[in-house]
Amino acid sequence: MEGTSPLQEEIEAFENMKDELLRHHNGKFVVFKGKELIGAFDTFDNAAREAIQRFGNGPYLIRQVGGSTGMPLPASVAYRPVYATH
Amino acid sequence: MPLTEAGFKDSDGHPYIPTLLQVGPTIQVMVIPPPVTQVQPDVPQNPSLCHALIDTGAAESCIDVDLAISLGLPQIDVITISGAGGPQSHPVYMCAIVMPALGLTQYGRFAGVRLKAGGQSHQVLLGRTFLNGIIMIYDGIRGQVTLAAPVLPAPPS
Repeated sequence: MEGTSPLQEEIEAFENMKDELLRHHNGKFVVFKGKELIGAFDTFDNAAREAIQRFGNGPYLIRQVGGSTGMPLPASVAYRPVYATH
Repeated sequence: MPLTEAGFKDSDGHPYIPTLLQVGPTIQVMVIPPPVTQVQPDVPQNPSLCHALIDTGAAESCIDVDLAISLGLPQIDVITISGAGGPQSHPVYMCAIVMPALGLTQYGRFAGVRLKAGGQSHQVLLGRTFLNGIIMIYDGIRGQVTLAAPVLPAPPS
């Protein structure tokens, strides 16, 4: 599922501001549209509602400051027993 | 307080433990794309319901990538998922999850993975973030899983 991201500009802006975001908005959900930081919100739900109200279906980035940008594959997907039939 | 069951029943309506053990706690949800012009999601007249696994072992939630594309869900981020084949970049989609039995609607972020193609019977995996505001009781003796959505008092202003 490798692919190019339609959010390259937003992700670069997030990375460029990362230190400042960690200082002032650690744990919050931030919305980026293009290079602009739109806001920081306590919950994903609040960030989503603001983003939708202002920009509809996007594109925009919603990411938690200080959150992980990676995850292990959920065990429920990774380990699916398939038994041999013969 | 709205209550619902996330277990399985046999033909007589009794809890059926083997399916709960094999499949896991499952509820029916509606997956709704974010609206373009308003904040409250549009619930279609005849919405299709998806089976969602309540995956307490996962922090993040996942959605079948083909379902996400067919619904036109917007991509809001990218995440790296590590599996047996090494790390891979996956899109993260946004949608509203409606749990009719609990009267809850919540926006969430979902990593797009190939659930159906991998033989998963669920199209949505709900991670722990979706248990915020929900009480879940797993009764392995009786084979029952109960979900409750209490109405919490508003914080003092």
